[in-house]
Amino acid sequence: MTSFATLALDLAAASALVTAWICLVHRRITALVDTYAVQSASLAVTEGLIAYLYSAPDLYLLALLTFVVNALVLPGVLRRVVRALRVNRMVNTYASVRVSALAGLGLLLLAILVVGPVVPYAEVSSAGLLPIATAILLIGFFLLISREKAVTQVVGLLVMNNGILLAGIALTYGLGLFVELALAANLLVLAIVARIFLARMKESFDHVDVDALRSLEG
Amino acid sequence: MIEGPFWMLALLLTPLVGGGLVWVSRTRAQLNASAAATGAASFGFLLFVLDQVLATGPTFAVGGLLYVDALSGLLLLVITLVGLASLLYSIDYLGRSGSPHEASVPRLRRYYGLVLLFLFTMYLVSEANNLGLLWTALEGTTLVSALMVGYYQTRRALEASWKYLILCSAGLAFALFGTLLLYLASIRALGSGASGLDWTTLVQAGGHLDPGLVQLALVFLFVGYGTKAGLAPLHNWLPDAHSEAPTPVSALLSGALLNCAMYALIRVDAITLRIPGFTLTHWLLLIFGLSSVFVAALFILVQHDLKRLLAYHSVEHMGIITLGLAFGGFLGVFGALYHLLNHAVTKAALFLIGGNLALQAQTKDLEQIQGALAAVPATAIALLLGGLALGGVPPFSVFASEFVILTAGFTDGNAWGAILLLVALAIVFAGLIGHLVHMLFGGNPSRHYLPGLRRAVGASIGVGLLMALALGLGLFLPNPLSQLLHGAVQAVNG
Amino acid sequence: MSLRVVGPMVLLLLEYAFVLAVGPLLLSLGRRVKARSQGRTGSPLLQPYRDLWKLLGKGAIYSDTSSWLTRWAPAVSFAALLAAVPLIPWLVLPAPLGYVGDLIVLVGLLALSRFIVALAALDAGSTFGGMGSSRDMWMGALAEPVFLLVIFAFGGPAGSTQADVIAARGVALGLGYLSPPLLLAVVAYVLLLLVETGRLPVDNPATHLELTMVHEAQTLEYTGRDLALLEWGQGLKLALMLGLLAALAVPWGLATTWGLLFLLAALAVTSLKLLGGHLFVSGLETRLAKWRLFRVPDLTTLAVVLAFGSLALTYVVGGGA
Repeated sequence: MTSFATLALDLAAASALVTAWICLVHRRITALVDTYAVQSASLAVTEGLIAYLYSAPDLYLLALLTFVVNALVLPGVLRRVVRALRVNRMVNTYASVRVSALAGLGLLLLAILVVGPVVPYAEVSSAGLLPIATAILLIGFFLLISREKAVTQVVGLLVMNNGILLAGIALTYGLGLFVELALAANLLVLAIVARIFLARMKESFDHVDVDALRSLEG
Repeated sequence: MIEGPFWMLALLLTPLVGGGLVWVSRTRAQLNASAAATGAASFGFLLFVLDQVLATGPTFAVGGLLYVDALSGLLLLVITLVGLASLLYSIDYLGRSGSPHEASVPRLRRYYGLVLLFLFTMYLVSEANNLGLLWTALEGTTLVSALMVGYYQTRRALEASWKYLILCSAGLAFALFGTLLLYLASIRALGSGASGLDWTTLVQAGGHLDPGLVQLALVFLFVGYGTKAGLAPLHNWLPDAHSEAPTPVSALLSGALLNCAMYALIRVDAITLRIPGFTLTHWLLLIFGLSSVFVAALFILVQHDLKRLLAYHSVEHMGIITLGLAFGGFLGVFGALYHLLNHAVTKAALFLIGGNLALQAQTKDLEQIQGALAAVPATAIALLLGGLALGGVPPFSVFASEFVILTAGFTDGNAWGAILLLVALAIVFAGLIGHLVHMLFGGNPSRHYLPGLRRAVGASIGVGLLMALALGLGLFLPNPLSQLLHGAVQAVNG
Repeated sequence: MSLRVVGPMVLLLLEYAFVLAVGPLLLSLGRRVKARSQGRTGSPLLQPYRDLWKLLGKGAIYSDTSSWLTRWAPAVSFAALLAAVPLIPWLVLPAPLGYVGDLIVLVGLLALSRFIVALAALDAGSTFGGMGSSRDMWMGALAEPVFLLVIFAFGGPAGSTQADVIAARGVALGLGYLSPPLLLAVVAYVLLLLVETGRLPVDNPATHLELTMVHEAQTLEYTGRDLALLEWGQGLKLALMLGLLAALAVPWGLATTWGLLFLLAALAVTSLKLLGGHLFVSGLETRLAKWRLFRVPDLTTLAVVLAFGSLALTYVVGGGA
């Protein structure tokens, strides 16, 4: 049974990576948000499995927290933003979808290169977990810098955060419950702050393209 | 004399209590009074905290999550001073009826509430022992201050605050990753334990930490906290956020918040200093420091906006502090921490003075502000003094700390770094003097000047306090402060 | 003749019968799922067999401007697909004729089938045929390199590009066969399958709007038994692609010993896998809208990324647990 859980752990982590890549090819914001929700859910599954495999009861709570906050509440907030603001549904990109997808591949290789030497140190002995987590972190960052829509940038941040969560449980079973709670609270506040800003932007520019935010230079 | 963690907790919670007061205040006068009272109370508690630190050494609270030593004390001092001055200035700037940016009561309540919450998060940064908590508090400062940067809700303000929010949050995400790796190093050295993420634990673990792992962690931590500290080339958000925020908030961002991020870097530096033969920190500090001073120098020369000019000076001074840390040794670290304090008071004062000048001239455009000395002599003289202080002219305190840092560079084998720093300082000084001369004496004062802040008792006290420190700290260092700095250096160097 | 020769031959015949029979069923199942999702009842499940029977009974009519190419293309295309059948382990490991070729040959045969139909559609000189051919060849050019990469991703851990060797490794390892690289390769393969078999969002097999047709445009010129062969070929290709997915992704259930009971069980399991896989693909289809043609490379790029990522995880990290 344990070996099956190990496999499921690997697969859940890999599906988090696949969803990160899929985020890179989406052109619709709603689909992007849905994919993020799927990623968060597979992250929660990963956490639950690690809790089971390594008898770390704290992580059950963390899994629940991830599921509620990252997979349900945050996507919910984002969907409401998209609906309420009637954000133009298409994602505009600085890098084309194909370039983005290939960049996603490059980022995985980079992640393997960067954290490869650290893999043997990780507490959770699953070779793929740490490079995958790092790749998700980097892909989230790429999503953030390569997309024009403000909502997409927020999703990029959230994807980065998922990568860190995954790295956290892979390396050290998380940062301790107290800190994890604080991180989740931070995310929620971030979503609220972003919502406030987007509403204001919509009010004053009638759109939320970051591309138009170019008056400040030098 | 009350022992234990009472005072540090009192100081930490004062802004929250003040925020509660603001929440229940109904009138403009009550709001202003609550804000001023909170600032004053914080200052009072701060004195007790510092007294305790100097008398009995470091104190823990909440099961080791919080910790105050001389280094925290220094940051608490900086935050409280700048916070007090900003709150007093705010009363005259947008608090009183008839003030130039008079805010409606609900807006004012929101503003004070956010400023106090901001102060709370910064206090939390200073007092956090757990590095995860430190990170959370820093991210908290971003979230709160982004809302304040967007206070005016103009296009430019929204653009600046969005950029600030996204870039700093993304940068900090990398820092969190670095923190994780550091935690892993700690677990591997000490076995898993709840306190593995505590700074005090990590510093003691020192030599047992795996250098390879710490190196990797360090790169991520530098990118993260470096972004937040506005080190070039990660400084892009900084001039926008600092120039678009309301003036008192600019002072807080530049004088207090940047130092919070720098403080996080110093704590990390202190950990790596305990690892024998670990040189990566030195090189990262050197590279980030030099690039910051040079990038800032170039942008200062071509700047057209008063507040952006000051913002780039912040980048420069963060770079100087970083270089001080890079030079290391007693002198280098002492100079860096001394400079942190001096820059904070000088820059906060300058933002407040510059804000007033911008009000009087009705523009922030450096080209259009001319002949200020004849038109508005009081503000102009203050600006001149502040500018000279910022440029590092003796006998102001910034000169003193820059001198210490340069000495450290020349004596500890970093001569070429010190020479490069001198070059950058010369460029910056030339640029700054050029701008000052143009603003104060240049051209014909064809522009119509407004009175600016009126009956500004609070603002005068705030700016006066900061300017007095900017000058006074250069002339002589009071004994308790000297002890505090020595204690802080010891906390870093061990 | 000894049992050693007769056995495999009987088995091979059984497999052919199975694949030829299941192809049309898969097609009609897909239509049925779509009809249901649109609130229609849809045609009966056995309708394609009746269509095929009727068409096979009819003669062919050819355009005056067409050459022998038009006459021969359906048969060649169908034969190429038939030749690919033994390369995949349908029921038994090792596959009876599995050693004659690997998956690279399979890619070649699929390309041949695609190529000859495209040529024939150009032959008559009709506009739609040419358009369909051009699009189909373009998609082929995008899909085939990716197909090879995906095969390498599957074959990497087994060190072979032969389907039954890869499947045998899977059966031997049991659940241990599952790994992150495998998951990545499977997702890449599903994307590729959408392109290869002309499903939504790439091509709409149910469309009769000429401007958006790809495969349908190429068969416009055909009637009677030729059309039957082409239609049947579509089903066959779908069965091949799904059968390969079943063998590579979920190889468990293939018989490793001979015996009637084992064979029947394997038959049932394989049928379930094919139907399940097709239900999944059709379900996916009902949730997608047709994309503009120029988004097809997005899909194949994602497949490249997934396949390459799978290889990277296999070789650099060492394949998970």
